[in-house]
Amino acid sequence: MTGVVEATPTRVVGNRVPDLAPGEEPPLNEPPARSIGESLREVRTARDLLFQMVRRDLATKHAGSVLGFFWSLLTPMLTVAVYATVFWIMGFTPTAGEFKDLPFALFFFGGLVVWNVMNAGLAGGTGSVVGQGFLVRKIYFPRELLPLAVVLSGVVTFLFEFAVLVVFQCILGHYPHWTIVLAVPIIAITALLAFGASLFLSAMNVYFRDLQHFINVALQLLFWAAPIIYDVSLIQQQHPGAVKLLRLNPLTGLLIGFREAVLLGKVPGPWALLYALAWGVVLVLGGWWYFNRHERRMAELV
Amino acid sequence: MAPVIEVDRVWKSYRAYEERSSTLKETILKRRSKYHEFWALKDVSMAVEHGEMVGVIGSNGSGKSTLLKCLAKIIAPNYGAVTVHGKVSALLELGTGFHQELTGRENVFLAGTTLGQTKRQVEERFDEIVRFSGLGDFIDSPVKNYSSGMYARLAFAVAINVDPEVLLIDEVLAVGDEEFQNRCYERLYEFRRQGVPIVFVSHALGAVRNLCSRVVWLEKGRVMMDGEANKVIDAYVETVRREHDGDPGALEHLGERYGNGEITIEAIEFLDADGETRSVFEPGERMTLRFRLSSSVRRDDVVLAFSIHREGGGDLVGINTLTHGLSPLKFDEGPGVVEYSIDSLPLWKGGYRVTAIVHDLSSVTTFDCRQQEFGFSIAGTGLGDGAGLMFLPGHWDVDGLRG
Repeated sequence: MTGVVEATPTRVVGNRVPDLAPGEEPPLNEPPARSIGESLREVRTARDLLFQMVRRDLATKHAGSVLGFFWSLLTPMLTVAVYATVFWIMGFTPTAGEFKDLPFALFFFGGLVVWNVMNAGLAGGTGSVVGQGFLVRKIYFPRELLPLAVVLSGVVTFLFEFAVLVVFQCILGHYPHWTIVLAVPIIAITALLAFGASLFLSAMNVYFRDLQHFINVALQLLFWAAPIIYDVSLIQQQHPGAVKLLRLNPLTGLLIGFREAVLLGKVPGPWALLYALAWGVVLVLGGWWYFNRHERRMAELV
Repeated sequence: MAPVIEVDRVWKSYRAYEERSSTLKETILKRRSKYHEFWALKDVSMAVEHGEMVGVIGSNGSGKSTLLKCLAKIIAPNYGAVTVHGKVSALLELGTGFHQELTGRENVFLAGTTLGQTKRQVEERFDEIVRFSGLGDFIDSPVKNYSSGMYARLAFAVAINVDPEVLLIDEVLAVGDEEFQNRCYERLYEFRRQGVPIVFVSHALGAVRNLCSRVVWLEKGRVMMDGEANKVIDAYVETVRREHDGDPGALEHLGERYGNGEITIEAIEFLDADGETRSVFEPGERMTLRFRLSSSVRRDDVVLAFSIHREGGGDLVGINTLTHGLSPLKFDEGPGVVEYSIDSLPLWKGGYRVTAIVHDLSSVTTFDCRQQEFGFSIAGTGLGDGAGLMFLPGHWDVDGLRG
């Protein structure tokens, strides 16, 4: 232990103290918020902790169950099996347009893996701060690590699901093309969206505990409001207006793009992806701004 | 050199919710939750120098923990600024960052990084942590299967095997058995020797007195006093006693008073060699305990006993008038004085409380017993840190060495 004082001290600065008469108390106010730049710096220095949090998230998700982590793969596969069976019995084919030659199971699984990144980020991210209240109250670390870790563990889960998808499509004879590498930016944008939204939701959840329940319902709605289990072209003829609405959802472009790149070997059009990216950037900036406004009081409220 | 910790005019408000509308429905219907906001810290300024160990004391709700949380960055001040030079390790609770489902090994990494260390730092200390916890192969079992003792040992091993540049501790030492506490204290002494600045929040005044050179006393969010440990603690104890006169137990180490009151102990005074009343002594000094008694009856079978208790420790010694072959004391109605003189105080630096009791020869009737209401402290200035409970009065002769 040396006596050298670190060059950059940590400094938590409140508002400037007004001039006060003896015994006088200053007006009540809020502690000033952090800037996003400060947040980024803190997250960067705490990346070892982030890594441990992702690990913990993955390790504990299915702790105690016999199959453990395999449930992360099994669940989407079973979901696909259920829908595929039901649709087959009903004689209904939700694939259409450019995807009409794909087996439904492959088509659906290709959408589900993208959706799961969003779903995991939102469902888990919302309660991430409140759920870790015991940590937030007792120790300081950049709080945005909590939703970020949830989103990243969703991305890690995606990697495994993606491997299953590729094996699956090879078995069915739809071999991947070089365009499969485009899955990387597409999932990055999806994760960006999920992170931005979960910044909002996790901070809001500190004040409104009901949000956790509400979000589960909202996610079901969102599931049908994106072309995950059906193709856009299916509703193009009857409801052209609905398709326009559907395209406002940034997930639409990501889902279509992902399937084109991975399953069809096609280069997706850039505009829908850029549109989603713009959403992602706006959500993250807005979400972080909102998060930082409330971050200073989180330890008191969780 | 600039102070390591600088707290500059910090104001911190808390909201006390009467009914917190934490559901959406309530928020929509009422729009606003009912709460009142109050200042938990008012204009608090303090500084901690390198190598200093500072205690923070005060009654419940005085803002001690709030101050510590401000230093740890867990909460942010409304006004003012907190500056800390160096990496802060805050031990506010044992087992912070532990997850039940994970193994001991995984938890060491999780909790270690939660406490602000890098993965590499945890790796370097991993073997030491396991050795310290004494868990052996259990380190690879989930902590939910641990006994509470094993859990505490591991949590403690992780907590103290940090490389703190600044250490903040809040009452974590209050848990665990004596052996465990001693190990905590040992480690704290070690950190102090290394020059790590430490801020220590505690109700255990004895521990604060033993460990800290300086003490900050907070009351209702304001700094009441900031100075030399013994002085501040004495002033604090004095104030609490005055405020809670006749309310035994106001201080945790203040016992109760009982007895039939036929003979009462009015006061215990501590006199130095010159016969002056003092509250702070040096090891090896002469001290006289003066018991001022008052009787409303005539008795000839009275025994006076007293014991000295170390703050944060146990009873050191108990003596009564019979142990020195004195015949039972005879009392008439009215006041009386009994004195016990110690030629050379065999006590180390620290705070001490005295319990006194007057009872009859058969010990069946207790006239008055006042438990740990009176006390004195040993300053130990000019002496190095000795070990053990006692000061051994005596002197060194050194011959034949250089000089």
